[in-house]
Amino acid sequence: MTATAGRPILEAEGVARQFGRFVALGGVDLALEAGEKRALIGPNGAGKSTFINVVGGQLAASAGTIRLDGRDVTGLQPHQLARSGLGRTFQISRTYRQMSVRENLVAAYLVARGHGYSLSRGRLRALAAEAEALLERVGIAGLAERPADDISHGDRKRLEFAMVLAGEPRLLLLDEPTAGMGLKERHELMDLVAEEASGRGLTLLFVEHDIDVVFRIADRITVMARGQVFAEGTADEIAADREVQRIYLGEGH
Amino acid sequence: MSAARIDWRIVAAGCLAVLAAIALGGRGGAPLVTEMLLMALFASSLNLLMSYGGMVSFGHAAFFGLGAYGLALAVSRFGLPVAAGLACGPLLAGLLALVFGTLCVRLSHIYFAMLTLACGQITFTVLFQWYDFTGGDTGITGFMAPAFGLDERWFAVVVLGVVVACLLALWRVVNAPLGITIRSVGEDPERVSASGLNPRRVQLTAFVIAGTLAGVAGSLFAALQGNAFPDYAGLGFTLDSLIMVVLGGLRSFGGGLYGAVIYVLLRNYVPLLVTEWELVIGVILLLVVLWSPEGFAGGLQRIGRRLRSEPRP
Ligand SMILES: Nc1ncnc2c1ncn2[C@@H]1O[C@H](COP(=O)(O)OP(=O)(O)OP(=O)(O)O)[C@@H](O)[C@H]1O
Ligand SMILES: [Mg+2]
Repeated sequence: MTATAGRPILEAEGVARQFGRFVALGGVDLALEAGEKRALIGPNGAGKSTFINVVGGQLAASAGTIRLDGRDVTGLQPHQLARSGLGRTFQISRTYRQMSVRENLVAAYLVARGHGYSLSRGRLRALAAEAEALLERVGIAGLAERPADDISHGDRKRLEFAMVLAGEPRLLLLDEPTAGMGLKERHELMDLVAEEASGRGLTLLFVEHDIDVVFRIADRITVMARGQVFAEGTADEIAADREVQRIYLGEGH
Repeated sequence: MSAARIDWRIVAAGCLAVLAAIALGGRGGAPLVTEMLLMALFASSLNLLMSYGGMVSFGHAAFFGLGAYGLALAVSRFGLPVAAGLACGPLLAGLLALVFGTLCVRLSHIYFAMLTLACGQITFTVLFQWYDFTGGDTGITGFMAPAFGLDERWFAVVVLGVVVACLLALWRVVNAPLGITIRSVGEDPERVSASGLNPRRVQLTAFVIAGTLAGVAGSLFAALQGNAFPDYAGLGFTLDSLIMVVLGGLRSFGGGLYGAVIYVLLRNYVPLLVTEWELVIGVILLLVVLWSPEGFAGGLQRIGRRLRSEPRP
């Protein structure tokens, strides 16, 4: 599926990031068309998470520009970016561990709707119903009362995904949304992610190590290695690329 | 930590118990109850930061002291009536919580704690040294009759009313959307910012609420004594509040309350039995942290669960 031609929703130009003298990102260019589903792949340590962290505002870029809907957002704080329509999950899922699954999602809704400082408990009741529906949707409604600390790794990934959806983002960055999941669960969750992205008209950038999932879901694929974009193209183009096979696909991933 | 409804039966039973203690406690009863109530409010305000906001403050007495001085200065230096002074105390505490909080929430964990320590020490030093204005180490005395000249028992009843109102307001806050937000920042500020809210502003909000409530406690404490001393803002009171929260129970709304009752009782009665009060409280603290890290409240919950023979969570 090709997205409607127009301005890309996300444009990264020459984005670099160093840790001390170590160059984790050495000038990455990447543009996402509105509505596309892009996979970001590459061997461990390629810089995928670092790139997502820079785009999400968790890490500052050492150099380069990032534009969201054509607006320069380089250097903005994560909460400012989130309010501009960027939603993200983390490689190691971040949830509120001592709070119940439902409270986690309600907390996300409160922020999304701008009621984070409200003193009205009526709002909580109204949002609890919405949270129930979304928990149902991602398949963890039965766990609503459990502390997030108490549920499986995979379920926590689902919860974090639901929390991001609650923010109604236009651009979704998912850093290994299926890490640590079994094969079946992984495919199920990514089908759900793809469905939600299409249904809500979101643009999706996801990091994934399972190449079958990548080929099934992604419209286009960006391959990173050693802090650089190594190749970019459709699934067929990437599958046919000998160099990509050599550095990545051939390495047993 | 999730039951959102106020159980009015518990509130009523608690108030009745306090009233009974005031009425039947003899000469020493009312002042002891008053102290307990004020410490309960003071510790509960710190508990908002510690149990909900994930912030450990080593300077919380600054706001207790500022509450006391807000009242004492308003009456003695600006000639305001005591009633107006009672509003000035919490106001001054809240205002400086805004100033100090803005500085402190820039950092987290131990760095946050060190900044609060610094702010507390600055406050103490200013109160201690600024002779012309704050009276320095001799404090401010004689600006009002202790306890408004009321009978100690009536003053205790007034304090009960104010403290219950403040605790109900605090309960309201922690069970409202704001409370959920404060808790989520306490658990994972990065997740909160990735969701679209500036976690520092949430922390600052909690800090100002906590500082203002500590100021209420401090103002009433000054009214009880009819004086204000720099010590009210000092490390001693800060440690008291930290110990009360830990004794009473982290991660529980009642932590500050239970802790204050236990601590004030211990502090009053243990010295009658042994001279080494510090040693006793040290050992008790050690035992609590090792065997019931969630304090008295955690112990209560465990016993309750065992009685209902529910499995451990
Ligand atoms: N905070 C940091 N300090 C120092 N080095 C870092 C830091 N974060 C990442 N790195 C280094 O930067 C490189 C890229 O890391 P990154 O996490 O972006 O890789 P990745 O492509 O996401 O790998 P993986 O597939 O294992 O998640 C790695 O060599 C890593 O060790
Ligand atoms: Mg990674």
